[in-house]
Amino acid sequence: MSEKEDLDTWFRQEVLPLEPALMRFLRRNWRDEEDLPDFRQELYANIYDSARKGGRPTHARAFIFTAARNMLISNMRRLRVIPIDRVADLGELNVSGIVDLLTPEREALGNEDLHRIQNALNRLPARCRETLWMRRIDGLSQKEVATALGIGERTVEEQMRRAMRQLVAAMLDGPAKLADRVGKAKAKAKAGAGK
Amino acid sequence: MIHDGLTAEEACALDWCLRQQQADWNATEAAELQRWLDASPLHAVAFLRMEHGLARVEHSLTEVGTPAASRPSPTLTAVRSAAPKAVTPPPAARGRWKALAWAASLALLLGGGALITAQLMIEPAGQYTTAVGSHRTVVLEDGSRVELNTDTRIRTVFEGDTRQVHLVRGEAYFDVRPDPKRPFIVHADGQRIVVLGTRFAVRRDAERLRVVVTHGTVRIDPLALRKDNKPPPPVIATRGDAVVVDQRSALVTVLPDERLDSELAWRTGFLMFDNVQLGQVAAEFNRYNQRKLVVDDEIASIRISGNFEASNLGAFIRLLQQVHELNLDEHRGWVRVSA
Repeated sequence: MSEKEDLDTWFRQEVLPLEPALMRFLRRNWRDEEDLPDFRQELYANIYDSARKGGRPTHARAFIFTAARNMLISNMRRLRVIPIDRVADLGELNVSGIVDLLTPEREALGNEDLHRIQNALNRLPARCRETLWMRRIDGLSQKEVATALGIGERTVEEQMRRAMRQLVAAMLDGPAKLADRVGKAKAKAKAGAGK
Repeated sequence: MIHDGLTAEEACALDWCLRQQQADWNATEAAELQRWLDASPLHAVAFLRMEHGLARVEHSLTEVGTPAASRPSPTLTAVRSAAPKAVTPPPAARGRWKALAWAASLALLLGGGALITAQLMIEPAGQYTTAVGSHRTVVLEDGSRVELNTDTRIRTVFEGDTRQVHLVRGEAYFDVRPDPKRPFIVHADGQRIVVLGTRFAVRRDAERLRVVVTHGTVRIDPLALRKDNKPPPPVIATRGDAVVVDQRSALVTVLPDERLDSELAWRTGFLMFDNVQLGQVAAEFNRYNQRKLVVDDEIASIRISGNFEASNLGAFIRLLQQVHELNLDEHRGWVRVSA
């Protein structure tokens, strides 16, 4: 396996699955939701780059959350007005404590995906959803969809691109509230089954 | 800066991922992609994240679209390492779609006949009915179980490649035996509920249809056409979802577990209310009893909580009388409650 493939595999297996927890951490500690996609990306790039130069950390989770904390602190310094409560919160942040909290939810993705996709599908604009459904589920070709809907193939392509963007975004970082509710309902169902 | 929830780099990376899936993906493009990836770690991580997300989307889409959830789904990693090829479902998927379309037209033809047979006292084969206040479980020929709630009628048509049930009126809970080769379809009120091996309840009221899913996934296809002569898009519902469908719209709500229990309490002969207005509670009791409860507008908004035996209207009325000190005006066939 080439060095790059090896790095990519590490990133896929160790970093990306932590995203829901990472985003919760960022949301708790940063007010402005709009900054978060860029923060996340900057953070991923830093992690990726330092893992490439300095080797993979033994404890990926601790490494990632320490990097997240440092990034938030440096961004707060850039702000004119530092939200004091947030900094205090971060100062007491116990990374090993977070790591323990995270362990159970790493694997809990599978079933939730179906819920997420369904919610995302239902939220797509009608035309987008129709196009996606015909292409991916009915298995029609781009041309067949264009004919059926009476639109150009270019438009079909553009609708598909929009649909996939929204689905991927929702899948990776869907509406936190809904995901939480589903998660809670599931935890409850499990607790109930255990009785 | 943000494109449908993605950063600029991610939107670009996703375009790359989608282009890789095209049949005409070639070495020149591959080299171009490699240059883009090497240009910045921002690109590299955006690409990895999109690839990961897209694989999950593709996987979930195949589960949404097929009864056989076990069908191997094309993942991006496979496409990337193997020779470039387009990701399309097998032709079988299309054949099934046509079969469903055919089944739907048959269902409409048979719909007229149901009105005539409903007048007969003897229950014809494949038809099951409950009277007001009764509750009954039937096992269908494929082993699927259907529980009929009060005042309900279903008709089954098991022919060829499909298993079809028409909910003529009322409410039923379906526990469907999975069979990918024979889709299970419930028709009700101009909607088609396509089941992918699962458990769910369907309730047909005067103006709308309510579907509650307790296990697995169902797809609801509205049959009525919109103004522009096209069918409205289907709705997918999974465990814990309640879908309310009328002629114009479908609304999906995620129910917490306790609501799921109360929605299906009728299966044990009970009605469960959590802070529900008395007017609504009365309407619910009236589904189960010949003797109807009539509530004065003045007190219709009193809130009721608790579990009650559906068939024991008397017990409920006595409770109302004691707790809320209401007046009863009893008649033959109905009871009026007032302040």
